[in-house]
Amino acid sequence: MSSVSLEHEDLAEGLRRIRLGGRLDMVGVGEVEMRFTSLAASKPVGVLVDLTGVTFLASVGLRCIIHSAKALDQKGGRMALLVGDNALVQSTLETVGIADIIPVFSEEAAALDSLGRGDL
Amino acid sequence: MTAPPVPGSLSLEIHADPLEFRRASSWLRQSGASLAVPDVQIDRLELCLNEVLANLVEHGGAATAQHPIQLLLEAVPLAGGCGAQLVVSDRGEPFDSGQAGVKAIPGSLDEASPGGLGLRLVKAFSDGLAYRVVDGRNELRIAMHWTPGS
Repeated sequence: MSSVSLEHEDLAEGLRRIRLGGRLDMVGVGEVEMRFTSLAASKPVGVLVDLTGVTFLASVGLRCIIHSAKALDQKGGRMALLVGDNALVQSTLETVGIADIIPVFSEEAAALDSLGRGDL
Repeated sequence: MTAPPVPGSLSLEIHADPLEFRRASSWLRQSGASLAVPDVQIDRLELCLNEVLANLVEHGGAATAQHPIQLLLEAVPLAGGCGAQLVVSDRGEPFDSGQAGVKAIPGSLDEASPGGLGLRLVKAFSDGLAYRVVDGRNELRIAMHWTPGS
């Protein structure tokens, strides 16, 4: 049984939401890394990465997010992270400085707004 | 509101395998509960444990895979507070997490590098790190402190 989940939805032209859930440790990231990178960084779009369902975020998961965000940025796209009320994940993102380089939001509307689609 | 920790210690041996790290996480949660260590401290300890074990797999060398990793969680009495410490003992390459420097926080996505994130997390989420070599084994003590009733 998989310990990590990955779902995606194209919300509009040029806007994709990717929902990650479960444990993003070495095993979990190994299960989804290639698919996540492919979904997040293959096109110059706005990508909302929803981490509200992540129960454990290790540095290997952070590396995966940074790698994809850089690749997306180089293609002309943008990434935003949604954490909701997930305090541990938010604290982890802030501790390593990711929150300073990839926008992090607790509300989905604000995250979509940052990607230029606040009308959704 | 939290009660003071229950005196005692619990141990586990694992192999240097990522699947074993999940067993270690489960053990840590169960052991923390039985020693009355608060969830907040266990969350932080679990992240530290995962990062230390991941570092061992990536940088510990061949000896890491040949010898079990020993884990010990113990409640530690402190003057005016409560404490717990997680001891990770292994036979990998010597590495003192407490003395190792961490990279500066990147100012932009361009500057962000994937290395050093785990060490930064361990230093930020622990209340103390102590490293020594005992009988050829590395021994890293990761400390957590809290105030009873907080």
